[in-house]
Amino acid sequence: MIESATFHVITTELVVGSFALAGLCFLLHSILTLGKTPNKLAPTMDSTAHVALLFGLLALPFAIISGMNSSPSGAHTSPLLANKMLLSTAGGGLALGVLFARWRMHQDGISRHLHNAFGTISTGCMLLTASLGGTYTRADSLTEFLPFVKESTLLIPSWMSFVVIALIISALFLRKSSTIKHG
Amino acid sequence: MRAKLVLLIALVLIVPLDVRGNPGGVGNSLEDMQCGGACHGDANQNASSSLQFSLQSAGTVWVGQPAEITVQISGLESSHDLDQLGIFLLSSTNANGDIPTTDGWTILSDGMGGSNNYIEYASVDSEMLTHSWILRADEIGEKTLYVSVHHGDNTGSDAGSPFFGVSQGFSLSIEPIPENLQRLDSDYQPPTSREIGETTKLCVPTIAAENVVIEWREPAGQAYVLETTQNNQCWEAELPAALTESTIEWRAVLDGEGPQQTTPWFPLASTEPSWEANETALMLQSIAHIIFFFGLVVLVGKSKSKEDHYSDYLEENI
Repeated sequence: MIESATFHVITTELVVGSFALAGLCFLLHSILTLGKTPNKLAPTMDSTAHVALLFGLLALPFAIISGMNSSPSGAHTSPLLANKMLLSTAGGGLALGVLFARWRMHQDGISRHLHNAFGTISTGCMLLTASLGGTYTRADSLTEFLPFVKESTLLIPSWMSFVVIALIISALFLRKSSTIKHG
Repeated sequence: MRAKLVLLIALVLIVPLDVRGNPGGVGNSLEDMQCGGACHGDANQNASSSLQFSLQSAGTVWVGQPAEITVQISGLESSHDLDQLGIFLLSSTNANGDIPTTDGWTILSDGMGGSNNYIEYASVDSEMLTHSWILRADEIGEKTLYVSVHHGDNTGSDAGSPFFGVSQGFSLSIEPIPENLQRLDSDYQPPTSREIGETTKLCVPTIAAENVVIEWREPAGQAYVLETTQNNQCWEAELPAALTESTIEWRAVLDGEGPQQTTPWFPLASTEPSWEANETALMLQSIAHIIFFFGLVVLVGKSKSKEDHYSDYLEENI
């Protein structure tokens, strides 16, 4: 039986590789669409970014679950692990939103660049998460210049999490009903 | 232009970066010797360490009783520029399954607040390093222990290479304990660490002991006797709290029918209180993150209008 830690390495590499490709393509897509003349590479970048993001997102739950299982004491016993958890879910949420927006929402001009920015930030979250993994296992990573990510965590009480969830879901429902009525 | 770009990317991928094996160490843990050869990647890249090793036990090693195993590593002259030094205590050199616990030993203390066979020194200042483990043999007979090290070295012709060294085998004879000799209960596990500001109540179970005195000291410092009371077969005493991160040592002196017996000095490390968050709150916050950031992207975006749907339909079908 494969150990959780080994499985975590495999899934993490899938997530990081896919997100890194997606982030690069989002960035290039924004650059290529800056000019007035459409660049023929832009649609390729756009498609590649979203397919890579989708692939990374599919591997993400496996990475998170195997990561939690490979920590003997749990993510709640270290600020670094807690930050890994929060960053990966933040990046996952952004990626999910970006894919949904690409599928269901209108994009032009500024909103396209904003969309690409969200995709790139999602990649940043994932790369930072992976870098924290390096700090945890090897005590060395490219983000050693960010000590606060290792030592402190911004935690909110449970009730506030419920409030955030309720607010966002309500806002999404309100928006949907408003779109149906006036759209 | 495209060829130049491809060439540049290829060069970037080919040029090796600053590749160092675990420069921050891997932390004290239970490790096979395999880690010493393979933690740095390809074991063929290892250079041989010139350090010398010795290993000895303090007195007779009785079965079921704690024994202090002291390792000395010499040759750490100023010509060596070591940063991290990892030391293994091994029961064989098979490179796997060679942790002493697989050969009838129990590691009671690694001298650094844990029960590991592999420990790391962040830096070494002296020419000779002495480190002690407290082990307990669970079987009578001859046993062999090995010392192994891995480290970096920024001097000499192999500067920058991962260095690896392993000692000869050191034989230890595990003796049966005389029936009426006063001793610790063979199941006793001494505490190895605690939090700063906490006193530690010891309950030391003994067999055939008429009187027990418990002493404590700072490493190599003056010993203080603790007030010890008997509660059935358990001798109780309270170790004082530490104010900073530090290690104290304690031992028990046992009187009975046989000659006076003294246990090894058991190290007890005091560490900062461990960080712990509410697990449920963390899980909820993680779910809130997914929903919040998903909602953020969707809410700031622009919904498709009927015209957009129509143009999409035209694009797809015409």
